[in-house]
Amino acid sequence: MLLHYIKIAVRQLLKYKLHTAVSLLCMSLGLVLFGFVDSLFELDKELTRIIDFMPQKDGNTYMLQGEEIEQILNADIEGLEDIKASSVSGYAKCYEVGKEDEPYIVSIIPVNSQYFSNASVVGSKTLNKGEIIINEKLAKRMYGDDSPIGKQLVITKREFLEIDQYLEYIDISYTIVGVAKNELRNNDRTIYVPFNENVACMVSATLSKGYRLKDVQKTLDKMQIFRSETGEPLKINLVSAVNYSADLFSRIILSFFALLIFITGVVGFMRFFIQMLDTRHRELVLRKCVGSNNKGLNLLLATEVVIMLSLVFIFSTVITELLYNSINDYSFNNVWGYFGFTFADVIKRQVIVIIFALVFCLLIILFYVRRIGGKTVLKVMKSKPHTNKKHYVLLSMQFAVSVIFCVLIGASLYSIKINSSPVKKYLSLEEMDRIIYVDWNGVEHWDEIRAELEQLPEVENSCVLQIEEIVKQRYNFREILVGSDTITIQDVSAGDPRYFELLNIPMEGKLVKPEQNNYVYVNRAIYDELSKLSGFDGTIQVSNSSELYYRLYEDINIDSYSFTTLQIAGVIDVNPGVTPSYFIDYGFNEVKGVMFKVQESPNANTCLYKIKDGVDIEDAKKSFESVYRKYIPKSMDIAPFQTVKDVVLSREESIKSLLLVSISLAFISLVMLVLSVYSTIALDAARRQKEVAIRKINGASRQDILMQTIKPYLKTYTMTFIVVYIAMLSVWGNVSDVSMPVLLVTLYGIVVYLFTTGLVALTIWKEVKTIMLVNPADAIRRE
Amino acid sequence: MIKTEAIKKNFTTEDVETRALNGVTLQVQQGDFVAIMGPSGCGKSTLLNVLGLLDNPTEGKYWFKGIDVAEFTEDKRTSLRKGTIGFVFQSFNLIDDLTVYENIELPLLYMGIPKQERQKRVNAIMERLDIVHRAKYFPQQLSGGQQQRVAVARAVVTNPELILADEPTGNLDSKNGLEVMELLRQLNLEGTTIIIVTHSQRDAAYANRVINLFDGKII
Repeated sequence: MLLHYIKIAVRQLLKYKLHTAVSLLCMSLGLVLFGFVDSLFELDKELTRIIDFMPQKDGNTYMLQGEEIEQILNADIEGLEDIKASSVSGYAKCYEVGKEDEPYIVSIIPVNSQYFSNASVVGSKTLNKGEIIINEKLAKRMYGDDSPIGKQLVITKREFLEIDQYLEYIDISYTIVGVAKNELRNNDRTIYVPFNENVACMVSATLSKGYRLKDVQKTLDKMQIFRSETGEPLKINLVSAVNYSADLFSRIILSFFALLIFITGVVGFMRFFIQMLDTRHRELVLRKCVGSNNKGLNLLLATEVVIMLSLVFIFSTVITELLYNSINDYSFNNVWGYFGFTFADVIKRQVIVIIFALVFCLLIILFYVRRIGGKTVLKVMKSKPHTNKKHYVLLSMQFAVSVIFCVLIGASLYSIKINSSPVKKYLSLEEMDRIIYVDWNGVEHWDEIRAELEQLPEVENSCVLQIEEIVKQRYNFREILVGSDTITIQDVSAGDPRYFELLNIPMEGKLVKPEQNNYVYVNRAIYDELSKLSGFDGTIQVSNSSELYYRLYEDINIDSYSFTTLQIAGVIDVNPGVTPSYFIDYGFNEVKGVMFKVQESPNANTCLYKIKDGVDIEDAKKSFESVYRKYIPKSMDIAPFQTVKDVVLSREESIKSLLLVSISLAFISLVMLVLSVYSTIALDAARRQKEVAIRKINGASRQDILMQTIKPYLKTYTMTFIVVYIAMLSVWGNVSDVSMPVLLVTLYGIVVYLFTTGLVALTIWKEVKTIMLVNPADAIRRE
Repeated sequence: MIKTEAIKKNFTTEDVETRALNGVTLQVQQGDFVAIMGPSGCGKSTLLNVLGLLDNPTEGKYWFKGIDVAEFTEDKRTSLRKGTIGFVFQSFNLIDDLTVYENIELPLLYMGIPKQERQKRVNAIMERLDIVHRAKYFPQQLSGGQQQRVAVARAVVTNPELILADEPTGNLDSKNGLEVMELLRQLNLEGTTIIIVTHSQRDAAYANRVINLFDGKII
């Protein structure tokens, strides 16, 4: 009997080849994507378990230091485990004992002694005085396949750096006790050193299972932690470490797309299955009449479901296997705090979903069979026909998915356009390719190198700037003073004003020399605001109580503990960083207030060198390399030189790759939708010949039949579109800063509507034509 | 009303060509009640389809109300058929997904009659045929006789000049068959031209003229 059921099941699936293929494809892709997305959501849970301690001082957050860290590390805080302290990294030079002429530039990260207690480390997981743990990449680079454990490294001071506070003793040897594998930040060359009381650190921890952030916060609030400087009680806020807008943004977009595809897949399958049962109502009753009982009917249908879902599972496993490595690698490289998931993790999730799908289908089978179980053939024949409501409800869900996809693609494309590097506004790609972009990147003798680079015959103009570093430390909404009035600015940067000249940034005013560091430039919005103030004479003041002052003092070395007057030298168009990461890293507020502080030699340097016309850029790069080589030992690599064009395009590349993935997923979804509608119409064309003939006999013209065929779809789609669009517009305001304005997204919606309608119309046209051209006489004769 | 001249109709399958009509010439006057009789496969239904503008003849001439329609396109045939010709079939050919009311309303819908007028006409015909109480039923919930009454109601709801009935009593018991034929006679008395295809001598007796067909020819 089972063989009979299998034979019937296979025959049934083959009977509706197109439907079967579409369902198989939809479900498989949905299952695959769900597996990966759910793995990412699992990762998200892990990430949200990691929390940061954010202490507050005078209303501002700052890093913890000395005794404050010790108090936290030694406290037994219920609900927290694996408390870690680490500082920001700094560059240093290191070499093996006896190999002083083969130095390496490394990142130094001070950490607490138990930092690696739950991490993957070869060797000791505990750090004591005079011991270090190095990362796997540095170990490989320095020692190849030999074990570095027990070897000794000398860490020495570098120019521009104050690593004195990082290391208790400089220029002495440290013993390597462990090699950290799969570290969170995946740095190229890192040495972890035991922190000392002078080092400011971030403290993080992991929430214990079953604890929530607010519960632990309550516990922490009850504890007595004191400021090491004053002994006053210290307020510490616990903040989820997952709140990194760039990673979160990427993940949400990808997850959203993948989930939508999954929904499309599930909906497609539900449509197929319910439609199949509806069409086979009579067959099932007839089977009962010729001897089958309810159990037999259940088995018959269950066999079909099992075969279908088995095919889906096999298909999805194959796709998962093909995609697993690349998706895991992508996530590893792009998601902070990512630990990776295994192939089994993904398959496990897919099995769970398949089981759910199976249970769902079996429940439907039981319901249907039970419903028709007690009826005679005559009763079934005389029962009301099945309505298509379920079908259209499910179809509208698929339509909704496609609308959302299309809008999101447009919005993403638009976002890329507005979020791309502002430099592109001022320079063509060809012009950008004539400017060499040089980062300090930790090399020694930087001043000498810079001086020589400026003097190269290939160089026409140059400037040094600190744009990126300052932008990264940007403090939003700080104030500058004019008399008793205050103006809010959002972005402070500093550097050499020749920067405007070099990047062709429009500037009204005078170009002052880099050493005239009492000058600033502001953007038009700020200048207009300043001009409205009475008493504005072209100067502004920064007060010693403002955060702006603090940043300027820390980073740009202006005089502390006084009101500082700065002269406005000019008005600039905007203050473009050379990277589009500007918006991605720091949220989505449009920057309205911008100030550029003239600074001769900022701490961390980026230099731009404009190459003279007629000089081959590759030759210029060779000249740059020869300058570098004079100061850099042969054991050290020199990174390839890039032009501004390379930098801009490579930074944009990551956004583009995200968009590419999104578009691919969206494309899959649209294909699935189109196939789904096509298979439905094709089935209609085959089944509705008689009905169409009757309609024609009763006066229906071809146009009437056309409308009759497409109207339900058009109506469903239009209604879905309106509902989805209104829903989207109602929340669009939240993202309109980084994407299309509401008005534009509305207009774009009309284009999307016409496009998707046209796309579906084109796909189904052949089948609709078949229905329209039904010859009534032939159709009736065949019946 | 109808005039044909030597019409032929061939059907071609992959390897066989069948001639269903072989030079049929006839005339039907306004108000006639014509019965077409003959053995199975003699071309009765094919002739009815051609006369009802459901199909074009392969050869020959056909004038419907004085218009040469032999080479009309499907669109033109549909346009001419609309509201002019009503059809009744042996197997009723009601649309399963539509209720009795909606089935009867269908031709009026395609004629573009306003909703109120449609309601009036459909209700009137349902009352006349005593199927008002079945208005919300679906075809499969009705008996054969009731289904055929619905089919007749649908055929006459537009007040057509011509009703073509293809073995209208073939699937009915004698009582229901009689009722349907009485209905057709009544319509004929009211001025509607009726052509039926039948095997039944009793049904043919309602006609005022009988055409016998054999191998696609009138004998």
